[in-house]
Amino acid sequence: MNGLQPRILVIEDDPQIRKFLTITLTSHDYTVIPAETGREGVRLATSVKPDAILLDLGLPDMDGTEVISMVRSWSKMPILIVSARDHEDDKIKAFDMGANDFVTKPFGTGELLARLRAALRDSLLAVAEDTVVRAGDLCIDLTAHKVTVRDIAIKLSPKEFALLKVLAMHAGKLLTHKYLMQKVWGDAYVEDNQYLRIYIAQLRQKLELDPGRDQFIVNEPGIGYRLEASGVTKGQA
Amino acid sequence: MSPAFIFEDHVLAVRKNRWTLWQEGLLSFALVAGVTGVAFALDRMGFPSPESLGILFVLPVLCAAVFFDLRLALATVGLSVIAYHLVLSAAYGSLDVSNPQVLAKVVVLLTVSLVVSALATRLRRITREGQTRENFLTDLYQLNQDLIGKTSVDDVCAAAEHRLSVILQAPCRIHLKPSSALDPVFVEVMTRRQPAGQGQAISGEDPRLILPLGEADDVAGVLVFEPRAGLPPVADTFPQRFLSTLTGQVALAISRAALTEARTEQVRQADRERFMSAMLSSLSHDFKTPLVGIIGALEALQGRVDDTAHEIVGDGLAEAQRLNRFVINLIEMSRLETGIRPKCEPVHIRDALSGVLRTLRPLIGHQTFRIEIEPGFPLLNVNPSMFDLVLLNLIENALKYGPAEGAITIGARQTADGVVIDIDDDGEGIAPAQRDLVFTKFYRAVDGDRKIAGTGLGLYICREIMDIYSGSVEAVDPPDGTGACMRLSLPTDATLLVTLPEEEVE
Repeated sequence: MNGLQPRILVIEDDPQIRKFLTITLTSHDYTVIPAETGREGVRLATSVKPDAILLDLGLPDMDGTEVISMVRSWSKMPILIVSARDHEDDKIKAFDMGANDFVTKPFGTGELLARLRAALRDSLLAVAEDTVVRAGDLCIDLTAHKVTVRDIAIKLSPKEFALLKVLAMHAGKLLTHKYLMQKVWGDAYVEDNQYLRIYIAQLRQKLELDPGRDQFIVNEPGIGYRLEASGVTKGQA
Repeated sequence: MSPAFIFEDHVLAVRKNRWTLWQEGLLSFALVAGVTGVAFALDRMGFPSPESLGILFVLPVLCAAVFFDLRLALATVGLSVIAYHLVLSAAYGSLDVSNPQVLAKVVVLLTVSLVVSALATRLRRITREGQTRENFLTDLYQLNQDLIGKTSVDDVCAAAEHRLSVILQAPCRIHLKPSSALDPVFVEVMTRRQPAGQGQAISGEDPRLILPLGEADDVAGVLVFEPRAGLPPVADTFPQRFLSTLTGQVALAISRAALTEARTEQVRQADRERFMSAMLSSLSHDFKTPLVGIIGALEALQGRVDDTAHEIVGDGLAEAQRLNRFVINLIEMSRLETGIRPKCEPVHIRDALSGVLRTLRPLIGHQTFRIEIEPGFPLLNVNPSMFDLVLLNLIENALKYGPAEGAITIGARQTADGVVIDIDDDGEGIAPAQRDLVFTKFYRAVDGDRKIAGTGLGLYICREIMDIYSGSVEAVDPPDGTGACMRLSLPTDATLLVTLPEEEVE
């Protein structure tokens, strides 16, 4: 970040939402570059080279997914999608194009900032293997293969640990089913994500203390999973 | 064209515009008499070779053979021989068959009449055949001309009825399925695919002629000919093959028009779906945009105010979230009504519950949840958003109507024919009489003066969504005896059994 505030390109056609996003992000020490249309957004992305893009999928001049593919042709900068709940197909398409994460309309400030932080962190910090990831009560020692919840040791099978490890290394960031399958089971299983559902359920069973209030693993229907980002710290063991 | 058809046609149709046998007989007799008169006159005038006058009698024999038929030709031969001998002086009194001269004459005349008659009959038959074929083709051509270009089944039927009535000179009516199923005779014709009435195998006493329309498994209905005024019945006048060719043409035109109609309807349906989906999308956008502003603004405000204001802002936020859930229900209902079905994918009940409870977290006070998922519970093959909405509505109700510190139990287990998921609260429950009513659209339970809040849409949508997967949602007797218990059932078809691969040992 070179000591400067991270610059966020906000591509959003609705003036009210653009205004609200600008105020919120500015007050949390981000610099906002607003764009009204997809075309303007693509132009600004090229000229300004922001640290991340906040993109509304429903733009008047072009399809949001087109913006993603244009940006992705030359840059890996994080792209966060803003979309309504009922545009699931668009959302999945956006992820196939290379979007990093999304927030669903209507979203809260807390959620938006958490996603943005995770996306920026993920792109700026390469996660070293020899770290301990803490997310609330959960502590994962990636080198020692030890997992504790409120200091109680949890016994995980190798696959369960492998899955949790991938989630922890990208804590707070949404990982698609495809990505998780590939990392944990290998390329041969990419299209068949049924094992993933079962293993996630097993992890929840072992890690979540109060079944009514899951703290750690968040499900994004149709897209993937994320490890809850609140209170994530990473450090040496 | 089969010989049977030709023969029938020959006898039935050729006779029609001709003299009767008696008239022809009389004419033959008159011809013989005329020739006899001429021969007699010539003989009297002193014709040099009276024997050769016998040749004149070939004339009536030829006429009878060519224009009439063989029977009359033979009769004319007999008549001519008698007349010749009675009238001509050269042969007076010599009517004796043993006389070689007489015998020769008889043999010559007989041979001539037989050969000519056979030739004439053949010629007539060929002419007749050609004419019948032409008539038949003309009728068929006209029928096709009438049916061509008709795109609706009704138009095809009307045109066919008109043309067939003209061709067969009998009032004609088409009865298509399902209205054709009202008459038991029609039903029999359609199932056995055989004609009925006018002496046919089925209901021979019926004055109408009823023909099946279509072949094999594809019978579209029946074709009915009313009895003809002053004419013999259709079945006796026209050959079976002719009639079945006509009905075949009509059936073909009907099925073609039906296909065209179905295709048009399909295109219209697709247009409608596209329109509805575009409308829903803009509707959703219009509702969501202000909500994004409200919720975002309130959340931003919440972090910057004192405790009292914090609580007020929190209330506003909760209400905005409630409005959002209501909008989701409204949009989802409209979507269900368009008939658009979003795609399915494997859903783990634990995942679904986790997401729904996260969404509802602001509503959860001191209630506790017990989640009991039977080991080996299969994945559900449903659309995740829709299934989440079902759980969201049911759990929101359980939170709303249950006591502040109650327990909500969610149990998932397998049954013989699928899976059930029970959501059981500790509230006042639903009176058995109202258990089915609560799922009707816009239903709001009124219990004394206590009105249950809500739009009456949530449970209706739950039922509609479960219907898509051939499942159900119902209020059942609570297993623990208190509160309400909502039971979701899904058939085995909507589930996916997964066997995990053997995991490597640590």
